Amino acid sequence: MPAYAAKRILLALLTIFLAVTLMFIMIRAIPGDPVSILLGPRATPELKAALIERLALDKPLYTQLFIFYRDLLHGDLGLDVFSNRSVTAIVFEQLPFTLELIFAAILWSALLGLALGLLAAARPNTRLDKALAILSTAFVAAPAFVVALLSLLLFSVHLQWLPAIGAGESGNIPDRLYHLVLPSFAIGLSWVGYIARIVRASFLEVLGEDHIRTARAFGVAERKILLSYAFRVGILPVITLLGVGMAFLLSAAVFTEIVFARPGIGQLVISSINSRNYPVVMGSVLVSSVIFVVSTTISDLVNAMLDPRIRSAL
Amino acid sequence: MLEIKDFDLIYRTEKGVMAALRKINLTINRGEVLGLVGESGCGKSSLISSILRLLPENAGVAGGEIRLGGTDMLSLSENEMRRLRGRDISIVFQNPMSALNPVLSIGRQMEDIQFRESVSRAEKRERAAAMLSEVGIPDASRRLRQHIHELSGGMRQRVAIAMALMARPSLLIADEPTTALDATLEVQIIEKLKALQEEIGCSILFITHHLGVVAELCDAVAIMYAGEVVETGSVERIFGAPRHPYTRRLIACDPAHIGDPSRVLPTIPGEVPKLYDLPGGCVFRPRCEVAVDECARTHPELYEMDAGHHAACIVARGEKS
Amino acid sequence: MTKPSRLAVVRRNLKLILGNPLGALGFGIVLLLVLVAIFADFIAPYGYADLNVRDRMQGPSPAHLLGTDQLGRDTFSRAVVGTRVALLVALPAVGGALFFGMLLGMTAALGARWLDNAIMLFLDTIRSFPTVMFALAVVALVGPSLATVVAVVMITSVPVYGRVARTQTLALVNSEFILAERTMQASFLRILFVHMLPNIFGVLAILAALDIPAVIALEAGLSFLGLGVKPPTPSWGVLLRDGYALIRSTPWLVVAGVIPVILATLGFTFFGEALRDVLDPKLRGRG
Ligand SMILES: Nc1ncnc2c1ncn2[C@@H]1O[C@H](COP(=O)(O)OP(=O)(O)O)[C@@H](O)[C@H]1O
Ligand SMILES: [Mg+2]
Repeated sequence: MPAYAAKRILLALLTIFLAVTLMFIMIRAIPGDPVSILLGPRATPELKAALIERLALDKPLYTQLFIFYRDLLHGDLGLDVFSNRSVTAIVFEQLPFTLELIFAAILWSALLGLALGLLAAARPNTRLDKALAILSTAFVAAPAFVVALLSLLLFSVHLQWLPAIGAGESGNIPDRLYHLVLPSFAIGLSWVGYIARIVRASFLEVLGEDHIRTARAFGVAERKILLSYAFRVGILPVITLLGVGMAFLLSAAVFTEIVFARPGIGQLVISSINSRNYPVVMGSVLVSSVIFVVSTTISDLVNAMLDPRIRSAL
Repeated sequence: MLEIKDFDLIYRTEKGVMAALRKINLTINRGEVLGLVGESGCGKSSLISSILRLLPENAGVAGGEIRLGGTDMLSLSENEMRRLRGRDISIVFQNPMSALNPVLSIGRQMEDIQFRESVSRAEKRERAAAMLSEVGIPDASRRLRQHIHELSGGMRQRVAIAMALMARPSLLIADEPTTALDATLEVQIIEKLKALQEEIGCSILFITHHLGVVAELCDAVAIMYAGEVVETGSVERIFGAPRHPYTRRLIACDPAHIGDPSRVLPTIPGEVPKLYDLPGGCVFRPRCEVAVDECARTHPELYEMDAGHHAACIVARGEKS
Repeated sequence: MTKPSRLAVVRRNLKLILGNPLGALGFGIVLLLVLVAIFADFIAPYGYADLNVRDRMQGPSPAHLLGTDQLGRDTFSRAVVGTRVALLVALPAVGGALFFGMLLGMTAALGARWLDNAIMLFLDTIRSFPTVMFALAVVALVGPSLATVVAVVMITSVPVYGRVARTQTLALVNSEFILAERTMQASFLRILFVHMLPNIFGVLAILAALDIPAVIALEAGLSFLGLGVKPPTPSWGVLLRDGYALIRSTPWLVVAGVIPVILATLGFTFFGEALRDVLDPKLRGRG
């Protein structure tokens, strides 16, 4: 396990390093001079000079890259052009709102998806199974922002059951949960479908495997077979999916935060794009890709912990 | 001990109903080792799944009885059946790599199958380790912490045998336990199995492709062909004076090497009939060199050739023994 | 044994897809959308940018099937023309991703070890950005446009296709019939074009069919954020954007934008899944 973990974490660091480099290249590669791009229309000569100084734009490219890495290593994503505050601080101020939303969505959708998937796997090819299959597919196909708009229209505007705006009063936990209901519903719905489908496929496959028959041939109780013998194997692909799901949810969160006027990293990116505040845009995008890499790494590590075959494959 | 009478098994498939096992008659006496031989696909695994009643969903029992020590297992409730499994009958499956759980340790699985014993976990673990040592696995307590994929082929097979013998069953079923192994390993494992069988005194239903292994290990032999038992008898009779043309072809192919354990079932020209639409008469007729017209009309039963020696062949019945 | 003609195979598979109710439904919707996109100009009763200030923000009526927007433009006409935009983004984007993915994946599989590693690492790097975040970064840098959306979708989907193409190629290289061709001294190009490309393309095409709904949703989503196609081009996302702004005054704009998006994503999903089940059931359960 330590060898696997070390290798996996190294790979994650390499990916992040490359992503950061790609970001750097993207900013420099597009036509136009990076100073005006980064500063936008409000570029005053003083701001320009300060930025050139900071990013060493008058120095050779490798020096710029080096400075870019060095700043990142110190957790420095640059300065907000307008407020002169650190981008890191701005992004991390908004991040908790997005994470809260994503975790709420993962929690409810994983539980419901798991339940529906197991239900379908328990009675394969019955009417219930077929109905659940169609439902899951429909959920998968429904884009998060469409679900968000429809639920806003129905539950907030029309029925007025749930709040339409914001993340709730800080510190008031019931209020915050109340404000989480619709947004987390909107981004979790597709995930119910994804998870139900993979749970069904995975458990049906496992239940047909030879080792389950062996356990039965030794008279092991069916409950035990399902809960420890089948579950331990069947859950593995689900964990992988949840890791990848982070990217999906980060994307979906952008729309949902806009629709429900919630604070968060998606809201931050969009408002920064609209105000042409590029350092903040780039900082947010980088942070979100780091979150994604970290979450896939964690899901791989959890998988390796649960599956000795992965551990010894290396 | 185990008595199978006129047992019929079908599989429902997209192509129609498949008569996978037809009128199977087999008896294994207490302490006897019966070798079940037949080409791949002739229904050996289906037969043992039927005995354990662990059939796939599309299978159906179409008739017959399977009795263990007098009780008809086909009429037992699922709960009663589960009590038998792993206690009176246990099994070594074909491929131990896939037959053991990949994510649970060997020790955990060996503890779990001792759920009937009211002893502590530590005690169960100790018993498991002792059993592993008994089947010739060195460093048993370390092995208990490992997973099945971490072992070599021979060690995996030994683990599977150890698990099956844990409960000292009265009937052990072994489905091609040595097919995947090389010849020297196979000999070692067969010898171990023989020694353990003598010690425990169980009956064994031993399925194999290797005639040499049968000669080495078994008391009696049953030959299967396309879902039927075509000949049964003692090892001496079957190898010394085979009566069914299929058995004869198997043995006559290379008699000098019968004792060579690495020998595989020889291939015979011709095709096995499709189980969806079987021809009337004898199933072996299309490949048979001695068939007569009668064979196309009459389906042969297991006729008694000598005391305890049966063959399903009209021609053989007509011959003098 | 004669090989059935290509047409016969297509006909048989189509029959299988239509035999499955959801497949038939999906196929019907896809066909409808394609026809609407092609004949949008004939179907739309009004010009998509025709203003009619007197009939602003109306509900559905015989004159305006889906009502009108804040400028009195006919929503139905805008939704119809929006179909064209949706497909104009989805098809080239998915096609391009398929093409480049295949190119990179096959190069990785057939090329030198270092090249393989480099390509896979590159693809993994792209994949490490959440799609929408990456799209937003690009839009922020080069500005919103139809072409940007197409490019972004293409770039973010390439890793998936590349990975699958690589796996498929590796499997094919070691497969029996390629080995047989090799021993018969068939030229590399022949093997490549006659045996490998059609096989790999088949698998990728199924993935592409399954990908289209996500791409349509992404285009609509970006346009909804005001970062996709530029007005007055009527994307479904633009309808939703207007609808969102006016959600407290009229529900009809949101509803009119949601209907085609859901129709398209469901239709392509059902169709794509039926296609996969018919052509390659092994791909089932890949999420
Ligand atoms: N679940 C099943 N459904 C349909 N056919 C099956 C099933 N299991 C086995 N068969 C068929 O039954 C026949 C006997 O199979 P099996 O018992 O595995 O043979 P053996 O163990 O002798 O190789 C084969 O033709 C096999 O294809
Ligand atoms: Mg078998």
